[in-house]
Amino acid sequence: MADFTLPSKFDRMIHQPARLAIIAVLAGCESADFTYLLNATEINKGTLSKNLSALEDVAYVEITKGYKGKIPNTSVKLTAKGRRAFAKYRRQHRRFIDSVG
Amino acid sequence: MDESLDFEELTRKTRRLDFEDGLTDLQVSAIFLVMSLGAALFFSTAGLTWLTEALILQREITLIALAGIFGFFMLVAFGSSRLIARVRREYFWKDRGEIVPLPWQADSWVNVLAAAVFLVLMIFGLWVVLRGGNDDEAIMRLLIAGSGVVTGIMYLGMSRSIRLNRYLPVGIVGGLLSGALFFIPLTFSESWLAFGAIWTTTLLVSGLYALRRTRRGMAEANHG
Repeated sequence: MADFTLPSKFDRMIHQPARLAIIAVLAGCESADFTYLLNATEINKGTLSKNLSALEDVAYVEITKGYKGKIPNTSVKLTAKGRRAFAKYRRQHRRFIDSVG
Repeated sequence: MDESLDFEELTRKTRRLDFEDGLTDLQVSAIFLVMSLGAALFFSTAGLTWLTEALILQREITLIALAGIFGFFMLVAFGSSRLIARVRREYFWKDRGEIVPLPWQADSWVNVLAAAVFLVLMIFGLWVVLRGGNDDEAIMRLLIAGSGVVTGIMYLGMSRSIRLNRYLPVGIVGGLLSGALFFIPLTFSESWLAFGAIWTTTLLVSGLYALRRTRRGMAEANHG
């Protein structure tokens, strides 16, 4: 039997393009602000906010709202649970890609 | 958003951000300079003689002075981090948004490889020393040469894991020159100076090259 997980069994919270892009960016840093996420993922503001809330609901990200000087700043951080879930997703994805290609 | 999402590249791109402008290289270069100069002075004959006498005559004052030197080193390390964050916020990352970089960028396989190479180098060095094929200070020099080689491996590993080509020559040049230190009959103090010269220069060149590219890219973007 092949040693891979079908994409239909992947973590649905991550296996969605917008959320995958957000998590992939956050996996490369300790935390990122909203502007960086907007630029790096090329998602529009509304979609980014909606998906960040969804990721926060499952405790994959932690959102901190504050100020940098006088300017409002939203900082987003991948939680330990989020990092573990993304690591698992990467392993499954790599095995699946290896098995088909 | 691009439908053919390369999420691995998105992660790498974010990790690269801390190194792209060269400021981190300049910071590490400054840290190597201060650390190696301090160690060279401390381990020199004059330094050790002064320290021994000072500890006997003025123990408290000497300890305070040593704490001050350590404090200066920490100030260089943390002060430069704050300065970099400020420069990025006001110039380089002004429009693109900010990140807080990961505290440790090397992948775990690089750490394991570096530790294994360090161990092998230590065993090889001890073997050379035990055979009597080297001078008295070789065993101390071995620690410096080994640390330099490991630093080189770290940079090579990072050039691969975050796809930053500039770190390939940094790792090779720094690692090989550091390794060669073992075979040059320098004192421990002189070895520290040579180690500092190698890594300060290598990272200074790398940092200035990256900084120039970043500034040129920003100028082109502003005019284009």
